[in-house]
Amino acid sequence: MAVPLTACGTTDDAVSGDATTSGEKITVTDAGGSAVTIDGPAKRVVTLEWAQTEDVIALGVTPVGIADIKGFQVWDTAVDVPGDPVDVGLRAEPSIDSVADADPDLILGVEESIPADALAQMEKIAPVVLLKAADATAPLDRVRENFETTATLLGKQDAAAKVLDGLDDSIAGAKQQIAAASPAPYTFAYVYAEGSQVSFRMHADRSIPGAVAKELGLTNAFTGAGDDAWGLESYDLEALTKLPADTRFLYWADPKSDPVQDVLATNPLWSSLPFVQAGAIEEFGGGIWMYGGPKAMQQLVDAYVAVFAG
Amino acid sequence: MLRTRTAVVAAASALALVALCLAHLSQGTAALAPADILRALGSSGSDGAVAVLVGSRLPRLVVGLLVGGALGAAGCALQAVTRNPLAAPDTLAVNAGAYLTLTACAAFGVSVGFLSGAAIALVGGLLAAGAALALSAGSRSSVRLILAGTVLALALHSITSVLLLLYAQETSGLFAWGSGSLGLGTTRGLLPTALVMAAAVAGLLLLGGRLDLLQLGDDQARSLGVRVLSTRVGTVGLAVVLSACAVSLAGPLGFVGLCAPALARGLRRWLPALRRQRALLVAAAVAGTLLVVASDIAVRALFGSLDAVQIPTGVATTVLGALFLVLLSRRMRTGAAESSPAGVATPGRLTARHPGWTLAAAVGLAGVAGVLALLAGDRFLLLGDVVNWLGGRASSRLTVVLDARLPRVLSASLAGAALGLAGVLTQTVTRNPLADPGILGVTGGAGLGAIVALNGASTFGIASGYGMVTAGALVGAALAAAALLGLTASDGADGVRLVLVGLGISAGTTALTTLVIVRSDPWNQAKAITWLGGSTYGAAVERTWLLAVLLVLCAAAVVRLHRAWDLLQVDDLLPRVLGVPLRRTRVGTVLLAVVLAALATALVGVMGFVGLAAPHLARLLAGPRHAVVAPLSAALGALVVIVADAVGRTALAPAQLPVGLVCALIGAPYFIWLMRRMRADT
Repeated sequence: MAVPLTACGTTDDAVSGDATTSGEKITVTDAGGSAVTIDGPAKRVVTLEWAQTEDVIALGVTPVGIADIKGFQVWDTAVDVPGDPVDVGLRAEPSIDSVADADPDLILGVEESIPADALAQMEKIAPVVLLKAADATAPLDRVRENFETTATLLGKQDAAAKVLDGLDDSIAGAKQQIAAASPAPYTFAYVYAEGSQVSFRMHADRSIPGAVAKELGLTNAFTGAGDDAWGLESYDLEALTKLPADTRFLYWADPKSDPVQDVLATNPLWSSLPFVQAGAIEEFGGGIWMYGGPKAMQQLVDAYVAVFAG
Repeated sequence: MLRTRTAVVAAASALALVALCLAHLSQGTAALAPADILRALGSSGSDGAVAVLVGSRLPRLVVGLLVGGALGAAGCALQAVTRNPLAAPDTLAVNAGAYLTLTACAAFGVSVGFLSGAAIALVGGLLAAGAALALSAGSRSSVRLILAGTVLALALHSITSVLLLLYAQETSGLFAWGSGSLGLGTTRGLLPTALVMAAAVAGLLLLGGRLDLLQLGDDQARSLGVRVLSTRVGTVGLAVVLSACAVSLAGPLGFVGLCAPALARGLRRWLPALRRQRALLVAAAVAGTLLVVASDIAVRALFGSLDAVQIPTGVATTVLGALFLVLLSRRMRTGAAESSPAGVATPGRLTARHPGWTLAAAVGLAGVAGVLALLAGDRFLLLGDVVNWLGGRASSRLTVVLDARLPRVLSASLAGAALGLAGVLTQTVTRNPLADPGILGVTGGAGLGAIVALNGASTFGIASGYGMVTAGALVGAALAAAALLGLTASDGADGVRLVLVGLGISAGTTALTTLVIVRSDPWNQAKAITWLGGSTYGAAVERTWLLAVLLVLCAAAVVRLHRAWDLLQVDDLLPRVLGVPLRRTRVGTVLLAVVLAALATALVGVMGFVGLAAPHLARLLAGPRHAVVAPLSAALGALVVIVADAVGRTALAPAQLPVGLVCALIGAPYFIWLMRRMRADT
């Protein structure tokens, strides 16, 4: 089928000159610490990671290309995807073809979005800004800073300030509500099953959901530090015995399955855990992207309030 | 005398097992002293300790024992029935089939109810084993069975990896589990699974007597009244049930099924009792349990119980198993490989008469495929676009797209050619139709070297460039090849032993690569799969010149050495008689193959299958003469990888699939068709 198609002709006309754009230059610093300059506020953005997709949409701009749109719509419900952006492929290896087709004036992602090898090729399409995806030493500052950098690139600083102020307000309000309820320590884990096995990804205070909870005055029963980027640590079932008896166990799982019901319910050790016996376990955060931007954090705040002060 | 020896070995094994079990129970993530656990064993301990023991430690130990025993027994049975020391749940694709069905369920969110895991894995394992057996049915050659199984396993594993990439979020954790882990979330399926396993082992023991007679050969066995077919089908069926149950419990725990029976057989010299199938089966099962439990203990002792949560136990069984296999295979009398590569391939009459035309056609096809691959992508381009691009008149969008596609096509073709050539050379020198840089562990070594260099560089804050990757790959490949040759140097032409040692190195290096990735970047399974799957993503033209130069040098080598290679693949005598410097030619050829495989791996990552399939295809098309077969294998290798890369970039576009995965996916059915044709001819 390809042969007759390719026998002749072109899909794009030949060009002679190069159009130049002019406007106010905008310079930001990327994750590597180098300055990236673009010509004027970006209008056509390709986003390569879900947090960036969420941020750009939250700032009122529809990306022209999004990595893994379908996945985004399942896992990040903080914003709706307006219009009809191009899917530029998986988050691990975005398609250079599709990114070029989207004809962006800015490519926005995190360091892991583009393998170092392919960076030069991407930069030929448009300026590339790669942000730091996560930083366990200051998780919330990282979220805010990324959001503000994105806003600067889009010329949407006012909109950003509004979103962040709104978040601050709702955190302050939520803090009071939760303090009034004086809740027991909580723990938050991503639970996933493999065959008949179950693993727990524990979220430390240094993770984004952990840091949000801390801001709200909640105490994390899991006292580990987690890794230096995401603040996560792997636990097995047995390790849960280290959690205090009055823990409220929040868990997040693939929306299509519930490993706690499907697998854990019949395990004698699970059933013997004090918080399980007390019924203090709760599915939490479905549809909230735990590693997203301020909009997702807003959802998180509301979810915590619903659990602890509802 | 013998009786006491048997008793001593049995007692020692039992003691070792008990000691290992106690050590195993004392490890864990709960804050409990070993003494607490011991008290809980006598059930006078606190409630908490009893719960930990009953809900976590005992199940883990029981899973280890069950899985080890089942895999050991299954491997032993499969090896007896195929009369092939390489037969195992891994090499007959049983594990791969079971793993695929489990992954598919996770990816598509198929909720799996009661006993789900075991049943689903059983279906997958049965289908895969059935396919492997059907594909080689009617063939007397047990090498073919292993070929079919290995190729099928590669293909199934590729589909699994594609699912893991496409559904990264839904399947998080499955990558690590894919190497096998013992932790258990529910004990619900344990008892039924154990009962099924026990029944299967009992069945195998019943069949043991018939299997003993089967070792004499089919005709002999038949004349002694053995129903050969039903014995075969029954044994294989029971072995598949055992290994599928094992996968459902612990994931595809690498290598136990291959290694445990080898371990048991290794004792035969001292314990003649093990010459009987029933005794051997029991010994293999015990060896399996020792292997699994010891591996689990080692992982947790080495990394600490908590850190070990993310490290698959299968990594350790594989490394341990590989070591054992390598050591044991040195003492094992295996007999030479039963067929030479030239013997496996029976060329079609038409093509054999005009090998030159076949070669020209293959080169032409590769060229056409290269151009089409340049046009293929998320969107098909037209030739005029390429002309504009060559003339520097293309739009910037097209320039970017073609600038990115050209190095990918180039890397694919060079890597494919290198692997095809490396495969043909390896098979010739070893006189072994199973030998290819992938199976012999050279590419695995290269991959491990490269990833260690990458990680080492970032640990010390050195910019990790392509030079680092290439150097790492070369060192890794050289070490793997040196180990392979050093360990097999004394045996001359024992082909099976070579493959055994090679498989050991291959599996060991792959496991260590998984370990390096899981340790250094635990939340990024996509990176691991892409690396292990081979990828041309982000390829750059300036990286291809080294391999290009090497391939040109190879052309000169082909011109000079093709006659020597022709003689080498027959036997040792003929080249000697005709004055070929045997040792020098052999060493030089192996070196060439190693460097080819290493540079290809540095360019596109670990890529299996090409080096195995391209030479067979070339021999089938053009007969055994290296003047044609060597370049033809290179051309076919290039063709396969170019097509695989183009398919990977377009099939699920904009998702980009690693080229190595696609290679196995499109190559496997072709290879299997080839095998069927070969059978029809012979």
